[in-house]
Amino acid sequence: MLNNNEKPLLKVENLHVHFKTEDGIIKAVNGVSFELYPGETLAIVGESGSGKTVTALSTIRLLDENGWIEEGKIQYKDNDVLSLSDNQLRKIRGKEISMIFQEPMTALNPVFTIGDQIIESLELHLDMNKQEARRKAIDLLRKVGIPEPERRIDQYPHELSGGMRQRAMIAMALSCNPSILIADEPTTALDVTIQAQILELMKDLQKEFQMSIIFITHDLGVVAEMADRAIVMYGGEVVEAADIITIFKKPRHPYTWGLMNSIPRIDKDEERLLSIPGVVPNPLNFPKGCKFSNRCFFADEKCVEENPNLEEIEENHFSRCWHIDRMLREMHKVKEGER
Amino acid sequence: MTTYIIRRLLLLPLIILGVTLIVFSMSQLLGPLKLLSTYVDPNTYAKMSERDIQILMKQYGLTDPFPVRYGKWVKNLLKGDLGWSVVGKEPVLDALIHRFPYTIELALYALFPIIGVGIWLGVTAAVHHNSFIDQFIRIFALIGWSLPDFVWAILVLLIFYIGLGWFPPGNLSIWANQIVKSASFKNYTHLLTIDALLNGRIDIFWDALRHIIGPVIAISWLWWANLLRITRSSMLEVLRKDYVRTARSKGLPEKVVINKHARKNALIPVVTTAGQMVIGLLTGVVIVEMVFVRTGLGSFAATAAQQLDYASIMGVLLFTSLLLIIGNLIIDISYAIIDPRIRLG
Amino acid sequence: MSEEFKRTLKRFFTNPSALIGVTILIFFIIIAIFAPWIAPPKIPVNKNLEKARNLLENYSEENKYLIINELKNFWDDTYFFAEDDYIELSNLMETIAKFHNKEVSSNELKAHIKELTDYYILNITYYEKFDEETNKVIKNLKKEYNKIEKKYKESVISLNLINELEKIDGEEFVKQAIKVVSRFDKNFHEAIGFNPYIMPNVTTTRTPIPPSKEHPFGIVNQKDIFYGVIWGTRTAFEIGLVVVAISTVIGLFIGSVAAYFGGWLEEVLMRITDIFMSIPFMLAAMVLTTILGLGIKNMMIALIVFGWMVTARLIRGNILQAKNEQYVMAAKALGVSDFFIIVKHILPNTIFPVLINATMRIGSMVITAAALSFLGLGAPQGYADWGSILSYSRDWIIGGTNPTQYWFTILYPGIAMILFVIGWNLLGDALRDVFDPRMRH
Ligand SMILES: Nc1ncnc2c1ncn2[C@@H]1O[C@H](COP(=O)(O)OP(=O)(O)O)[C@@H](O)[C@H]1O
Ligand SMILES: [Mg+2]
Repeated sequence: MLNNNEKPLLKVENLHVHFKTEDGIIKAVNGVSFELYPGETLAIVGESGSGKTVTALSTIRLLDENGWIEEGKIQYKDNDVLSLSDNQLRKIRGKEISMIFQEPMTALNPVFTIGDQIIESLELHLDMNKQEARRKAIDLLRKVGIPEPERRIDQYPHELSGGMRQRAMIAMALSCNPSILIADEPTTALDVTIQAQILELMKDLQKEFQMSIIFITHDLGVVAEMADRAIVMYGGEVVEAADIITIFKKPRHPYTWGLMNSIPRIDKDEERLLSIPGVVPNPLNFPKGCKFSNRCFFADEKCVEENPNLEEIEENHFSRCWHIDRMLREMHKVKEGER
Repeated sequence: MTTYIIRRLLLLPLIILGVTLIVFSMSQLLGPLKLLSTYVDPNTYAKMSERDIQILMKQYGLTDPFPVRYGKWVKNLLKGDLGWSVVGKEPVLDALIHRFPYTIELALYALFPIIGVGIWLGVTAAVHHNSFIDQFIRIFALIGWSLPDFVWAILVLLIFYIGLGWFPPGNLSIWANQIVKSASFKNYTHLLTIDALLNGRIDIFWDALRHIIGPVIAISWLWWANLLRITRSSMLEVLRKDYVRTARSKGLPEKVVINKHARKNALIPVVTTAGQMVIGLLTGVVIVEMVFVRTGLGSFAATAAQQLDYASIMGVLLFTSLLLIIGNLIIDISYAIIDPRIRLG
Repeated sequence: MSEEFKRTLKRFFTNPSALIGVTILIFFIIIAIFAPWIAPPKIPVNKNLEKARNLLENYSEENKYLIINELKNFWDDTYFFAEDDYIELSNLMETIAKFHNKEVSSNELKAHIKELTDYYILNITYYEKFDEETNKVIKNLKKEYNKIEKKYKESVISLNLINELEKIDGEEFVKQAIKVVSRFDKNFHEAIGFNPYIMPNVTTTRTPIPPSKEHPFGIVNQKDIFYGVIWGTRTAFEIGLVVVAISTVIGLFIGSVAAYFGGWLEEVLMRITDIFMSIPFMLAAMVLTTILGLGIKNMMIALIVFGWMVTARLIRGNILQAKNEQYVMAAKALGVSDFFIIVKHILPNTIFPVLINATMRIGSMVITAAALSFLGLGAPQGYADWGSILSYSRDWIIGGTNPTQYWFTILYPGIAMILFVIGWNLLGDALRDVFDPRMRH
């Protein structure tokens, strides 16, 4: 669990990522910092477009060709990721830090069998020969719960169901026993029942492989089951960060609270009490001050003018808001109402 | 997949029938008198009276109603009777068969450099997207695409034959032609370079090769342009795909990512183009064969058209259409086999 | 929509290919429009008309009869024999009619023709070719008759016009006289068969003559290359635009009917499309042109007949795809009218790819047409057409001794041709990039 005495495995400091597009420069990530400790699961939460994927991809410098890291520091164990050579970086990718993606269909190469794709990693990082690698791959497929792995290994991605594909993807990511698994919305594209199975599988595997997980999602409901800590992102910034219990019990940012109210609640008739109005604006059109101000229930002129800093409001609980007090008052009112 | 192939095969006769109908209808636009000239040497009836000509026309069924004429024509086709070629001074079918190997040989020699270089350029441009190399290759493609083949063919002749004296026009030098026509030279494949080797005549092989390189250069630029554009855009699209990112996230070297993961996907649509190219080469060498004074289907067609030898041009058109149809069938089937999504779907 | 449109425009006008392409094309458009000024055709003038025009410029009463006189002289030169010719040919037509009814033998008809050729009313070939190609000769004689009938009628009208002029004076006279003169000018050009698209012969030697002051691009086969290149621009535009426009419309019609009605009609139309696609384009165009007879118009017909299929497939595919797009389904579910859906959603998403494709086809169409002319199968002898000039060039470069001295015969028409095609291709490429949805973020 959270253990501040230990050295962090991965440390991201003040990360800024920009993209060049024909409409101008998009500032997708603006000063994100976080640490990931061995064995823990860190959730990155936020609506689509808030910069989660870009943050994750930056940790292994996997940005699209029109993007670059403008500023920041990324430290993995003793390596300064941003100054590694391409060769050194490749030894980290897939072996130390591996990723799984949202769309298992498009993330697997359609013209190679899943076996080919797993064996390829094993040969590359673990110096195995073909037969060893194949045996190991079958083993892995069995571990991730794919039935008849001996047969499945020679199948093409499109011959598997969505859930099976994601399991294959996980087997591929875990093949070299990485210390960090970055799971970018791994269940978003799947049905609810399959989702639960995959989450369960990830938890089991985390124990077995003793790895840390960065779990990216837009769904706070999933976070509760999976994560030890969470950072909430909006407009390329961290707006709140805390351990998972604190986040749920004492949210201290209107955006987090809004996200929580978007969770369907089976025990309530009114499904969305105070969900967030509108959509994430085009990154070129964010308000000048607090990026959330144009959608925020509590915003005033100050919010529009000036972006608040991310403050440590209590130990290990950070929030970026001018009006936490107003929000607290409103939360009380709602609670009263519920009674 | 099998149903797809079966459907294609069932449609095949229909398509062929349709093509014969179009070609036949086109020929009927000539009117009976010109049509008669495709059966009978015009000199034989030049002095005949109107009435005798009418009788002659009746003899050849030119006064029958359209469906009857079409039926007869198809029956002759099935017997291999495409009429008499004035230009070739032999039956049209024989003329076609005699000229086809020359065109095949030219197409074969053009094919490998075109595909090899075209794909290489396309992949290179895509990998260096928007860089100097990419711009350079794009301009190269634009010019190749916009350069009329006859202008380029003349320039090639001007540079490589008249200027440098390397690649002369024609099929063979005169001395080599005499040997090839002699009885001691055996024709195994009717492809000059290969037969020369099989006869152990390296000198003739070199001579034939020297004559073929010019036309190959003349053909290649346009096809390079076509192929590299398609490869480039296909490759660019594939490079944006998630699975390429996945491959990179596994720590694979960039070479493997591009040459294995991206290229195989990118080449699937290219296969169709490459296939169409083979057919395109067989049917599209008219200009080059004319400029380089080579024997072949293309020069045969053009000469026949210039001399109003209708039977011959109809024959070439039918023959090449048949090539096109069968070629496209093979492409579609092999396309289905390459792409596992179609193969197993 | 307008926001999106503005962005598209901006994207277009910041695209270097688009700018270069558009510049090149504008350059050619200007040349095409101002061809008569850039390379003025040698318009033949009739001396009488010229004099009449001069007299009209400084008109005074005493000149009136001089002017009328000139016009009458013109009339005499042009129409003196019109009436006689007309009568003679009418008689011949009667003989032909009798010949058809078997009242007159072919020898008698032949004798009648001989009479007319002896009077130089008809060309001697009609008599010579009569036995060989009776039917054709008769057909051409009928054409000849129609021509002369027209000429005769015009002669009557012209004479009337002159007589009318005699009756009026002053301002009114000048006004009418100018009209009459220009009408006669046209008649004169028609009578001698003047056509600015036919390159005039400017020398007597056939060997190419290098560029000089009067003939900046040189001379090949007695033709001024500069004149041919300038007027050939019009030919290129005409061929490219007309062929592509008509074939695109045909393709649009067939493809959208197929997609709209579906069922067996779609099956039939698409199989017909397949069949047309199974015939190699260049050869098919070549054969059809040969059969229809050489000439620009026939070549264009041939290119159209075999040039519509890509559009048909494209539009059908796009419509079918658009029909299944979510926004269209949603609009349907909301009860939006079919017409509105087609105009608002389906058309914009289907017509642009077709237009882009059409733009890209113009260049290759012009190349194919030029290739046909190059083989001697397209434009007639002497027509101002880049492909034709290049085919002259081929004879000198391939057949001639020391061919590098004839560089100018290929350089100028070749460059015109390449630039023209590059212009269209750049424009097409840019349009594709600009409208390609994948390029948007
Ligand atoms: N290749 C790219 N080019 C331009 N903009 C990009 C690119 N990738 C991401 N972005 C922009 O960065 C922002 C954050 O994207 P992303 O990290 O994918 O969001 P999330 O994963 O939270 O949904 C978005 O506004 C997106 O438009
Ligand atoms: Mg994302």
